[in-house]
Amino acid sequence: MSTCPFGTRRTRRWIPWLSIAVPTIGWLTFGLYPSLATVYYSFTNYTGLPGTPTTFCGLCNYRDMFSSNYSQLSQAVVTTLEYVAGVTVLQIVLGLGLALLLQRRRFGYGLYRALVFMPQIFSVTIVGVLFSLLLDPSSGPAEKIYHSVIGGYSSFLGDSDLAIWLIVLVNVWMFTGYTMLVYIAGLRRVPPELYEAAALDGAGPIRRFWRITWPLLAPATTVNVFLTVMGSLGEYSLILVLTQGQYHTQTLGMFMFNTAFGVNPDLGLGSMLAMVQFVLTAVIGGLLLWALRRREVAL
Amino acid sequence: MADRTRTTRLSRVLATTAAGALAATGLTACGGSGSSSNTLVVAEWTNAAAVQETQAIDAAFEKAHPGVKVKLETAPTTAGAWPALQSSLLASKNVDVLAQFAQAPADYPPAYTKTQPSGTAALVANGQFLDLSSQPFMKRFDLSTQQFTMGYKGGIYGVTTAEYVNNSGLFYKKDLLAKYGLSVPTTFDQFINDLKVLKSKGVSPVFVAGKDGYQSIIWFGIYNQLLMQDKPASDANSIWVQRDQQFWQGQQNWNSAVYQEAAQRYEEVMSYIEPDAGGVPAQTAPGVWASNANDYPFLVDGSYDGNTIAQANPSLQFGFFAVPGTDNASWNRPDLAPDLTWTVPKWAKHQTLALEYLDFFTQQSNYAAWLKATGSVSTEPAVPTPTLGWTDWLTAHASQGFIGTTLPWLPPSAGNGNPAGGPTLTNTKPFGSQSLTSALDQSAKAYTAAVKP
Repeated sequence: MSTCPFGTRRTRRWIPWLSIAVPTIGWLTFGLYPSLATVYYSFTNYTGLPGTPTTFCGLCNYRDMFSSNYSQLSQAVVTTLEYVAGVTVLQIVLGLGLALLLQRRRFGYGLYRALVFMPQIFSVTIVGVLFSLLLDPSSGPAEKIYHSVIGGYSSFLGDSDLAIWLIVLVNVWMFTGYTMLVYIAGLRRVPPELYEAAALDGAGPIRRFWRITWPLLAPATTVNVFLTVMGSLGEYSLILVLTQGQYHTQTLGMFMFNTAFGVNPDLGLGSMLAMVQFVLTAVIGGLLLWALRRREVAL
Repeated sequence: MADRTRTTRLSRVLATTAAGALAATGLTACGGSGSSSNTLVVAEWTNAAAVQETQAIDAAFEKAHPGVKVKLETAPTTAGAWPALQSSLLASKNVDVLAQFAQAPADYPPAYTKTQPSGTAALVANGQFLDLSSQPFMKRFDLSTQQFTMGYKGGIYGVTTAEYVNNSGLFYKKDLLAKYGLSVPTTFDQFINDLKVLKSKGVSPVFVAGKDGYQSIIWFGIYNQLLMQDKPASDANSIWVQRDQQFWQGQQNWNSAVYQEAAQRYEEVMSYIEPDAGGVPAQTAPGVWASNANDYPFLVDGSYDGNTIAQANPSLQFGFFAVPGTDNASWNRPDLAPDLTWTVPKWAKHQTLALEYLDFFTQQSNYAAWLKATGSVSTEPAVPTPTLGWTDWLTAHASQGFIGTTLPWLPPSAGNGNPAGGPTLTNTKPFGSQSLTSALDQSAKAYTAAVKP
């Protein structure tokens, strides 16, 4: 007679259902319901303040955003795309470079890998405060270094041309360790015989990289690019701590946060911006997956 | 048989654990320390001196009310932390005494604008706060000020306990001005002349926390003085309402002459700020300014930071005055900003205790100590504004000050940060590349677009 690991015949009927029910309830409550509520609120004038009336206003938020607020919206989309592009390119290049450097299983390499990965475990608030202090031009060390090396002054996070790129660097500093680990996992799946054969054929290190390593890292690149793009498309927390969206750092996520939870909260308009962000993320994510999969097949 | 017993026991353990977890979750959701029957939840934004003194008052209140605990919730106003805490407390209805920034009658747009009040004014208009007008402790206050700040349809929905000079606020280093043979300027020309002299001596004249937008203190200060001119301070509200009406009706806009003139003066002052001002955060600015005793003679900041400066460098001789934004000394009055206002939400779990707390807080001895710690202007006639080392000018001139402007009425569809609400100074020179004049034109267009039917 076979025995069930989860109880008697009677209990084994409902234990699987219970196992499914708990995460389903969790998903319905914390996943589906808030998503559907966001869609609904985007058609209302909901402020989020208790006692204030909420009325259905159809496409009012969409109409207002694409008319009187269009310049803010388009600027936020441009800033978001700049941010995503900067983070993705730098994180992939640095992550791959570090993976190539630190992939070896030798004494001490593990420590360096841990050091590169460490910023990932810090909270955004800690990283934000740390870099705010470092980049404070009146009392931080960055200004002294900048002044002695370049000779001028910089406002760093208060410079409209520089601020977004500094946040890109902070983000890359935080998350490159993760990208590196994914690439190291990919590198360790490359059969060493391929390199040996290529070396016998006279291929140098650069040729070996482009002909063997890079094509065989295609699945790792797909994972890294997709996760980095998706993660940075919704970024607002780091920006909130570093600049609050000022000095041309207002991404779509930051714009949504400021609108929905600012001094005069407007959750209706904020939900509408969340919908714009959802569409943008879905379109970019879909196109990216399609392109990366095609690339994998081609390589 | 043994297998069956073991698996039955396992299923019981699983079921008990699941039930326990669900019950614990439920209890946690219902509970929280704030809702305990003897815990009064008080929330205010972070101002180190104010929080410290409030904690002292809370301790005294607990001593006077055995068995009562006061839980003080705080968050800084930067990085959206205070609005986030406030939203959370309001949504969970888990606060008994809630600090709000004081409002003004102009925050309630007339019906013809079809614009609903927002933020705190929306909470007042929708009956979320208790009417405090009949509370005995309100007799301690100047009722006209309280009606101005929290009055709505005959009721008074909060008690304003702090008033600072925010817009127009300037600190100065007495020793540095004396060293270069300068005195506290009383007109705009004198001010610019002082700045020129200081710059020629190799001193960086003005320090401003541009990262958090403190340059707006100069912008609002100058244009408020230009709008108020020599009119009585008591006319301030009617002047702002009239201005808002003119904006709404298209008779005035952001590119009108008065704002153009203010822009020109603002840009002139901004040409004397430290070169990297855009990156200086408000949190560190008072301390940095205080510790650099030989540089930065002027600091653009509100009077709420006076005690912070004094603590950062106790030996520094400094004073406070209003920016002389016009060429007429008598027009250059401080722009007063009613600030911390205590409210009691209508749904507060401990309303009686909350009212007792406000009564206790506003008792003369407690309130006087709180004013001394914060450097605030008193709103209780029987409690004088404290005389501190840096408040000599303020003591002499606060009574001539006027309550500052609010922004023109805007339909909610304009959203936060829309240029229709005024130029974004962080985008204008010297912080950004845009000239303030062109930003004013942009704001004027955005305002017209936002209010058009």
